[in-house]
Amino acid sequence: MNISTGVSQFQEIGVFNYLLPFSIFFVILFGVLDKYKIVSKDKKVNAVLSMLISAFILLYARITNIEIFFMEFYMKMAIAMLILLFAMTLAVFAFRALKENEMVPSGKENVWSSVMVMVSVMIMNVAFGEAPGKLGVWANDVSGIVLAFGFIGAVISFFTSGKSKGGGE
Amino acid sequence: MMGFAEMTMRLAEMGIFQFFIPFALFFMILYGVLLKYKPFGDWKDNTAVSIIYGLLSFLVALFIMLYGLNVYLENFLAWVLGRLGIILILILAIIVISAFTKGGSDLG
Repeated sequence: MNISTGVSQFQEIGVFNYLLPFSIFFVILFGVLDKYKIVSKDKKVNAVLSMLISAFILLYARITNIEIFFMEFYMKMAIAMLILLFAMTLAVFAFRALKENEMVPSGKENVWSSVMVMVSVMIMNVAFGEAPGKLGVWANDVSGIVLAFGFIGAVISFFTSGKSKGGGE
Repeated sequence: MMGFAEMTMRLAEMGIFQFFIPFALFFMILYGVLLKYKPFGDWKDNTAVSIIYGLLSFLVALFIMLYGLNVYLENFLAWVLGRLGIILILILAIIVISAFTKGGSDLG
């Protein structure tokens, strides 16, 4: 027996369609109620309230195949987070290494950091360029969006640092 | 005697790369992000909140396993992470060469 068999059996008995959506909704609702104390300060009251509201997820899951939505949503969220994580890792790694070796001119840290962000998101876009399968196509689209945001951030950072430098001088 | 190639094949057959590692990867990233940004409040002195963060990350990450049942996930991850590893090594090489050149010019 491998992991695939176990996951299939969990799917057959409805763990992914009923138990997990119910649990996720319960935990999120309980966390919000417990943090903001909207209804009560008592944890038990919040827990019972969250459980009663979450129970309707079971009914909803019976009429719609909610596991497919969760599966697609969380997988794409995971890939988006992975892309951002690697873009930030590359940018921080390159920028810190250059700064610690005193290769970044003083007073131009913002410009250099924006260039590093720009370069790292471009590298990420190239890295996801030919990723296999339909997941690869989606990852390529997301990395394109990250590239666009990185470009906007770099431009804003460049102009902001230019203004402050000019004003100082 | 089992070599590394055979061991990797065995692990792949068991579904470690298709199910367990994507699950663990997403769990760790999500857990780290939740602990850093604290959407449900500070977790350091509150056991209930730290349990909420751990449980939520675990439950959400389980859906990655379900995705692995339908899509060939290990192929995608191997391809992307392999490429990113090479890029990271190339950047390290660029930094080393730049630092070396800078060191040389300082001596002069």
